[in-house]
Amino acid sequence: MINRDLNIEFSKLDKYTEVRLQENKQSTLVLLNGNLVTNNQSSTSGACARVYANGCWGFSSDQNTDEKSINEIIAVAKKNAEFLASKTNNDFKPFSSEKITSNHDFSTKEERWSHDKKVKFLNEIDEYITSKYSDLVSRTIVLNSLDMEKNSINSDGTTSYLLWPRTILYINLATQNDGVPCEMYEVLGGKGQVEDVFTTPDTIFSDIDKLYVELQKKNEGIYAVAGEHDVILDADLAGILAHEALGHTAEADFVRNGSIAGDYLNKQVASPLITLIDFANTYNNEILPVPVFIDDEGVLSKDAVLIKDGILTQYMHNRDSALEFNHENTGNARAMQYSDEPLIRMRNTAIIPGDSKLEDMIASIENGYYFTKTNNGQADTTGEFMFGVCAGYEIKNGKLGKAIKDTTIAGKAFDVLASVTMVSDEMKWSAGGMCGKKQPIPTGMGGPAIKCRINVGGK
Amino acid sequence: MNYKNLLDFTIKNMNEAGADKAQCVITSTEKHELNTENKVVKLFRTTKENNILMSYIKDNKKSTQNINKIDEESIKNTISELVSLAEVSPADEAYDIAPKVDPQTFNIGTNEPDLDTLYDLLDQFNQDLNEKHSTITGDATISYDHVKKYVGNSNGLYLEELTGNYNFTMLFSAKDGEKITSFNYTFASFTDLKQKLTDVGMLEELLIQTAKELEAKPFDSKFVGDVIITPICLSNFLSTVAGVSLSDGALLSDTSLLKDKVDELVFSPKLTWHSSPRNPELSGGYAITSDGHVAEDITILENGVLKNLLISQYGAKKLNRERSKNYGSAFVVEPGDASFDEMVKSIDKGILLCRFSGGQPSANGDFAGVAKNSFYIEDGKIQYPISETMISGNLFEVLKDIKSITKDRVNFGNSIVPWVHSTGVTVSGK
Repeated sequence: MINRDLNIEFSKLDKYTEVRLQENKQSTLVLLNGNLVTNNQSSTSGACARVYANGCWGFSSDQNTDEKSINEIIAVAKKNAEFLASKTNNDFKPFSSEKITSNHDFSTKEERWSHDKKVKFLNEIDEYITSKYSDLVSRTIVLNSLDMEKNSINSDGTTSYLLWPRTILYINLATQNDGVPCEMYEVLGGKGQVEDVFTTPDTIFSDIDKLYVELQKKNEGIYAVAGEHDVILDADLAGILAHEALGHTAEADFVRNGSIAGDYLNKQVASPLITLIDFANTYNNEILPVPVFIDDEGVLSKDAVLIKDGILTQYMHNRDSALEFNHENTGNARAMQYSDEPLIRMRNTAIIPGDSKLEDMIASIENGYYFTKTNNGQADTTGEFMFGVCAGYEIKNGKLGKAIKDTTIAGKAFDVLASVTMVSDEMKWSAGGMCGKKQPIPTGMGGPAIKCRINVGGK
Repeated sequence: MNYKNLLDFTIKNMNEAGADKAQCVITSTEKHELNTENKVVKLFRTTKENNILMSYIKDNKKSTQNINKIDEESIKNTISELVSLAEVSPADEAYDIAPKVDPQTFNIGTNEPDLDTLYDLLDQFNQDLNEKHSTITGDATISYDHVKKYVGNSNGLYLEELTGNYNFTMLFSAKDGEKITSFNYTFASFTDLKQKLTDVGMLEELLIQTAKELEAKPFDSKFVGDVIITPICLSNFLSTVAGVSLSDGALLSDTSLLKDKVDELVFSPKLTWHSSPRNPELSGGYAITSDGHVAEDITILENGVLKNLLISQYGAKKLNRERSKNYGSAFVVEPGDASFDEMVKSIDKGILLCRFSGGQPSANGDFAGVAKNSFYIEDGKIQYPISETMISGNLFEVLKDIKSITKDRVNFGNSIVPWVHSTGVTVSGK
């Protein structure tokens, strides 16, 4: 059992020690052209310990969470730390110590759906698609639920319990044009177990109708013209821009390894219209998609104001980097599995809304693009970024024109953010994202729409 | 721990719970890992884990569950859930388990880790970086991974796969004053610790290339020209081709452009491409497929002619086709007869594509992304490293228009791949 008192005698341990119990439960149903090709549940749970010795970390984990096993992994972690410490002359400074407590449980209070109900939910969505849109080549519907439950304690006496669930419904439709396939997807859902995120299938039907229309337009669409253009990035893309373009360069481990953000602290790096924050758990009194209250090192999680009015003001830290840089620790350390060590990760990253209306932003462009969906993104130490755009439209004389086939946009974070001239007044959050960095982990992204100049790949 | 007994217990209980067909894979993994933070060894991580994957089929209805607990109570509870999951699933006659074959044990790599040498290797590597590649900054991970896999089912199948190898990855860039390069990376699996880390995964070459990128210039024009695809990039492109056109997902969703092209010329006759999980030169190979069959080496493409798709047992039954002998990865591409220098000399205008940063190409092969860590070629010479440069084209056309392939190849442990020269890509800068 994860949620229980961890009676660890820290007084007997002569080194800073953390212990975390964690369980990840996942359920995946995949309906591919009406065939249930995946009907899987998984559960991974265990305990881990991290020990700090003279600037080195030792880590050990085991799937058993009884007291004996926990004592064994603490012993192995200590041995590993001391092995490294014996080989090095790392600087050693003690961490600041703060005893805090947090307890959050986002599990549903509703009656749990049976597995039968989940399968029927998907089948009804599939039947709606096939009955209304018989010209599709294929349809894929995925219902994925992830519950992450963590219980941590450390030498400071800090204790933290969090049960964070996420439920995502992914729908992908494919058609073709002269034998050439064309696809479009939609992601629905977010924080919460399925009972709190979805109700009945008919509430999804209008999203499917919208998706089908987008698909048809893309199927008859055109390729973007390669080169630099005026572009409106809608919320999904503004969110991934905040995460990929700026966010990763401001993670202190990347800064330590020479990322561009290391040379620009307290300097103007973006338009004064841009304020960009990695939120810990709350915005406008709303709990965010991936809330972190105490991170996996037992540090209080705080908002990291990365850019304020265009000035780079802060990095995201863990214990080691906060000490090294002599900065405030923002509590950004997170681990995906019980067997993973905490790494510096983003939480809920977003540009703050401005004052403009989206229709005015589109009307302001003579010849450019309005991009609305992305299917991936990658960052770089130089601040260069790239992400795939799988939905969008050309803008001609201030009006939306033809849909665009798959393309890619890229640029340098600071250049693109400096080119922003309008920021919309709406904020949208998404929780379906995964960030890769040794361990793939869920992250939240959000934003308004922004107008900027960006390099577009095309023909 | 007697994993065979555990396997038998699990299958017996699935049978008693009413399974028409039951299959179980038990995996026991032990990892010892060292991590550096910018040339300082900071973390020593030891993990041990068991995983049981159970597949339960009754009345052609299927469910699967993964747990990481191996006590009898957890197994029995999971089987009860499996039964419930399967009951509400739609029936599909394509669900099946692997047939019985003679029991076999496959040993890949080494079962005895040498952790002291592992540390010394990493320590020496950090010294080499400081002395010979002083502008390089980045984090490295080296681990010894011991994986024991036991596969059994209600047909009486029993297979063991015992794998032990070392795995190295490094993410790095170069920095000099305010100049910084794109990050680069490499990875490699190996069983021999009697080598320097700079010799694995073409790391030494990548470190030197990365340092040169400190002088990268943004590309300022646009052209359609030639491309030399480096080994890491080629590995990624071939994985993409497999994903969008050869594997179950693409075939079942009917988005594959190659689904009816077996025995037809689909790519350049210069290209011969195998999937060779049983190749002894690959320390990161495998012997058992994900659905419990003994894996065999296959030729995907022979002189440009498609010889095999990558269809699993389920895909084969669903599509009424023959199951492939393996389902991909472990790629080995046959060498050509060109040298890298000859390739460069033959190019009027082109790009040395070292890393492609882009989304998954479309099912039709269209790709567009950023050419990372890459160099501009003109008049037969590598002119300079480039930044902020987009590259786009169609992957299938690129593989059709191959002009030459190098004799030299790089063995990453999970693939052996050469450099490939092709044409027809659009390169554009600001």
